[in-house]
Amino acid sequence: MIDRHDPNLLLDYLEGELPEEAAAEVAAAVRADPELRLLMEELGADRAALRAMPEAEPPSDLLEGVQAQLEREMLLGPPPEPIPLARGHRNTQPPAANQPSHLRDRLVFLGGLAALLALAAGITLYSLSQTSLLNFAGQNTPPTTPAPVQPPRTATPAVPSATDPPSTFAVAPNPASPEVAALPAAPTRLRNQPSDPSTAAWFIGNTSASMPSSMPGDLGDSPPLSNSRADTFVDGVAIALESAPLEERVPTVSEATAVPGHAMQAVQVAAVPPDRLRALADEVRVVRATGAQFRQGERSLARPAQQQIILAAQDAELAEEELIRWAAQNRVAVLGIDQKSRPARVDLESRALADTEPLTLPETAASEASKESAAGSATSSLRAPTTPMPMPVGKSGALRRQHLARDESASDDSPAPASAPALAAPPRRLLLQVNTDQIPQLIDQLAAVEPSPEQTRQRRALATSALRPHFAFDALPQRFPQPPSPPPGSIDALVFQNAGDWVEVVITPNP
Amino acid sequence: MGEPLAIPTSETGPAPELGSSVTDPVLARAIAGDRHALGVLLSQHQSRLYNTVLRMVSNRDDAAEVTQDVMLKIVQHIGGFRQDAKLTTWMTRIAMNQAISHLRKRRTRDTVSLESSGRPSVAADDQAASLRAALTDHREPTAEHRVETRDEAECLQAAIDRLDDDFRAVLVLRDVQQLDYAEIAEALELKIGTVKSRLFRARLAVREQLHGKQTPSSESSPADPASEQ
Repeated sequence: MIDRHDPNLLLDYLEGELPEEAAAEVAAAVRADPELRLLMEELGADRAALRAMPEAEPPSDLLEGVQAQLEREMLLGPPPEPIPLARGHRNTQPPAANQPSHLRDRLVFLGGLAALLALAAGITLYSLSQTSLLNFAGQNTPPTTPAPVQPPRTATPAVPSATDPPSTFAVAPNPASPEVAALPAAPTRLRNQPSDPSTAAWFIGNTSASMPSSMPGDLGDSPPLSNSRADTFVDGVAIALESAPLEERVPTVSEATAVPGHAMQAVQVAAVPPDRLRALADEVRVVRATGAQFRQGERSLARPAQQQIILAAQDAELAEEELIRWAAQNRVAVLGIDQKSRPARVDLESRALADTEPLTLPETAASEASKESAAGSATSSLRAPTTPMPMPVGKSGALRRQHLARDESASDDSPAPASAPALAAPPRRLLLQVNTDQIPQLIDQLAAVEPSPEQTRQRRALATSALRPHFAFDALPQRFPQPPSPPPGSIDALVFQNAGDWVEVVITPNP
Repeated sequence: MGEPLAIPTSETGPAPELGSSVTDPVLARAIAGDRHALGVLLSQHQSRLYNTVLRMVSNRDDAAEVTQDVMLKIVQHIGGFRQDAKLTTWMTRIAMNQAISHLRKRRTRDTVSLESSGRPSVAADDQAASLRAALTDHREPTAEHRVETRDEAECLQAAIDRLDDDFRAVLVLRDVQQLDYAEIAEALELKIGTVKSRLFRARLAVREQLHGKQTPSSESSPADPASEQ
């Protein structure tokens, strides 16, 4: 008698694994039990159907895929996932491998994406940094404007390292600036070489070449200039002549880090016309190029008339001395020297002009200023000068507006003299806003006057007291080399270019 | 790995008899590192391996992918093939492990997708199980399509798909590869009694799926993974 509930027996019967005798017994029992017979019939039918399932044809490229995968693994290494050949189908993989595959895939994807983004950001930052370095080093010239042929120089334009010995000049023109490009070849003479030529570097950023003829009154209205650039190499001297919106080229602290181990001097000077700058390029000894990174900077610096000299030197004093000497010899007004990191700057917006008193211009300048004011100049809100005073302005009427800012030591009620010889003793501070195109002319006139030692002392005191809140350069005047014979003049003046269109003149009566 | 595998051609011959041993010269050369012999070996077994995997994963694309992985592992480990086992058994073990691993990954993915769809997790295990079963392979034809076509093979495959992996593996090896109990036990590293038990319960489950009849048995359903001891 068989057990109709014995699954092994029934299975063996179904699978044909029973011996004939046992199979016959089961068959008899199944025939006798309709329910069991139905079960076995259905199970048998299903088994037959499963065994009769058509065999699928494997893909034709199955082995090719295996071969390709083997080649990939041979090239790229084995897959990181361990091969589960362990016992049966038990999951012997580590818990990490048991995580949902899509979650792992997401993590891997996100991780890879983050790595790619970080890499891209790093490359971008690095390339930007390098671009800035290269641009300042003179390795980036605009491709659109062909460079005019220059007289042959004796050295190949290059950016030497700090250890490179100085060589001869190799001056390249500024192809981006037609004014500069049209200049005659600069002389190849060298002057004012620093005592240690391997430690100083000069950079001159010139925006005056493409500077607009008129200045907007609002500080934030600096017109965007063409982002052209021309670099000049002068025997290890990299002088970058740039024409670009200064908003994008305000030197910042990052400049100090551009030359590791070097002190950085950043100096703003008054605008210098391209020909002057070109001449300066021949006279400035730069032995190492460095880069400067610019960013959106101070509004007071974002003026198109300013020029920036970035000086990098291992010896800060030497660099400063060289800079001052260069500025003096080239009659470039130095706004200030920041020995720390930031260039000297003046925040015009915060500068108090309330204590200014009316100033009378010479007839020509006053009339022109009045015309401009009447024409709706952006600076028309400033008070018109009333007190006559000799002004070192050019015949072209560069003066657009003027103010007499009262110095602390000046007398409020002391009228300004009508002429230079009649200037009274109290020095006054004159704030001028001039057309930036005319700044060099103004500089020429003002820089021609060299103060006496006493005047220098007074001027330094004035500058210190007046400008210390903005930048300290009280040591600057005494570093100016004394010219052999100061020309006679009616005023003792030092020009401070504050922010492109502001010129501060310290006027001391000259007895 | 420099020598390419032999791509199957007409002269590679039919698949060898089950239970190829190291006495097979092709297998011996393959074990010795002969890439050409290994290619011939794989070409002989690829159809069987593919069909086995296909019945397990019930999707051609997945089956091809898993079969490739199986072949890769065969290539990588053929040198360590223990000669005390049959080659087909060894290959089958690899194939089943890969297929089951693939099924578990896919099931986990579908389960997570189901849970992340915002449906209440408490809403009846039966419903979730039904959905899981329906979502076992989202690329296969929909239920409506299956009902329309009503192909017997599809119905059979659908019934197999509803089985738990352990039961499915036994059933596939028995009916598709037509292995005996001992071979199945060796391939799955189970006892013969367990194999027989699982096979019978799998057949009962298929019957339920195909005929809609509840087997008067006290055993738990093979479709319930928790029923495995």
